Amino acid sequence: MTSEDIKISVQNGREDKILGKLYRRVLPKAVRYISKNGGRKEDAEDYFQDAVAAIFEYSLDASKAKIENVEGFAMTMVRNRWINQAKKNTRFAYTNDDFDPSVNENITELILTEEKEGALKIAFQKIGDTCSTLLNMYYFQQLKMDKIAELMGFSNAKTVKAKSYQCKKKLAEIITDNKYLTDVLK
Amino acid sequence: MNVTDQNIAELIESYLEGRMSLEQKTKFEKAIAQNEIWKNNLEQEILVQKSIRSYGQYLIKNKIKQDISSGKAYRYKRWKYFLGGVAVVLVTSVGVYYSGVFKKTIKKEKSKLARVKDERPNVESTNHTPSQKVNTSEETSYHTNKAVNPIIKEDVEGRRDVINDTLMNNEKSIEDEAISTEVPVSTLSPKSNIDKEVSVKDKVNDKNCDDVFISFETSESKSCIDKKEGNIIVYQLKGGESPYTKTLYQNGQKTESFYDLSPGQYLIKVVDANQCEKKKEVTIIGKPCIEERKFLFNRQFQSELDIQLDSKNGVFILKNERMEKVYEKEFDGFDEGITFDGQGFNGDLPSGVYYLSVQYDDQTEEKGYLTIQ
Repeated sequence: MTSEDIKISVQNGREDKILGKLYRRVLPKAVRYISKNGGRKEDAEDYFQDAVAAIFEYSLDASKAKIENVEGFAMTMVRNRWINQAKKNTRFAYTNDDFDPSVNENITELILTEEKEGALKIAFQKIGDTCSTLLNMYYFQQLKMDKIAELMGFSNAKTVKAKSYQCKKKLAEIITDNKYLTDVLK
Repeated sequence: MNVTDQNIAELIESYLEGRMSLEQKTKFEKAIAQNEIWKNNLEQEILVQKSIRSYGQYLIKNKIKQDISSGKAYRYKRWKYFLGGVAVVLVTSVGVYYSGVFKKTIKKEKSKLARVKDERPNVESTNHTPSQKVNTSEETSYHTNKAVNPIIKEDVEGRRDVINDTLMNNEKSIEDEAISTEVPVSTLSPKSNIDKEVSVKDKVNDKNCDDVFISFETSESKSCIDKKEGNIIVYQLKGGESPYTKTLYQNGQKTESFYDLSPGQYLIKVVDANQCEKKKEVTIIGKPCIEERKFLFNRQFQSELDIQLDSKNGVFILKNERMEKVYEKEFDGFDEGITFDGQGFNGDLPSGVYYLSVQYDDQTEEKGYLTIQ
């Protein structure tokens, strides 16, 4: 599976297909690896969630290089993160595995921190469900305006464009007016 | 391509979406570098788009979290074990059944043989040729152990193949469960807070709708009481055949759209291409909305205006009609408000209406207008 497959699936509202494959091919391996090395199943699940969500965000960015083997990449991200954590925390057993530097640091940086998640929740709660869904469809899922109009019941693409402009403006105000949000989301 | 205040927003979007030629891009970057406001606009747009994408990522993460906590993420594997177990049970049952049949057959044949043996003196007493005797024994040997085994084995293996096919098909159907979604609606939309299923009546037209299970999720936003601010989003449409028609009713009357709705009960009807339908009742909750705060500062009669605020820490902001921030003052719980003297960042604020926003540290806020005369 490549990052391009993820992009196409998300654009077609079929991310479940990709997630299903990753649940089957990567999650059990991640749990096995971390449990074998002294971690808990929950740690493996957390790392898996973070890695997959970051890969999704990376895959949707057209300017980024293609990932040829998403499953391998996700597993390496989990392993690298565990090795880093194991070095810091004595609760975990050390592993003989080497840290794999081939994983692009840009993706690791995409992993959402708890603080960032909190800031996102505040900002998107304030703009409301309609705006959150619309902006997500346009900027994250990268759906066409007329498709969004059809899905959300707007009369046409023009209305979607106008509404998206309003929503984005609202979001910009919320973020820029709040120094905390600006700093965390930067 | 000329960069102006009027087209800057559009050009920024084109620039960030990579829709500019190299020449346009260079020209745009040069223009941006020379104008501080445009530069800020670009930075703001980058921040906003980045936040939207991070929010999408956050929704994906939440979905995975839910799939893990509900066990769905492990279900693929469990199904494999379950189906594997079923296969073993079936194969064993078939084996046991046939071994029973086999034993019975052997027993039957043994008794048949014994009967033949018993009758042999009579046979021999008749004028049969030796070859006929051999034929009799060949006929019998067909049912002996060696001859029966391959048939049973072949039969059992035949069943096993069928079972394997079923397993593969089942696995495929589980894997492709989500693929059957007709409409490319993301499963990442916010979840509905209240939706009550009232009727699942299927209408029979050309196609029998008994086996058609249309399903969808809804998300409703609240509306201020006495206002029309509610919205209903229908997403994750599954089952039936696309295209779907979505209609919204209130008190039996069709509404114009799914947006700008007043608080109350609504009925959503989704009909698929075969006229099979599904209805769902949803509620737009009414919420009491704080009245916008309005202040008047008249320079002729007053030098200062006391604005009462909640006893909490926060920041008071004024913006002009272009939504540019012109005044900002932080306050704490002891201040119980601020004193406004008509001065903005760059001296006296001109007469006009200003947008007011009070943001408290506990994330609550107040909005309104301040008019300067």
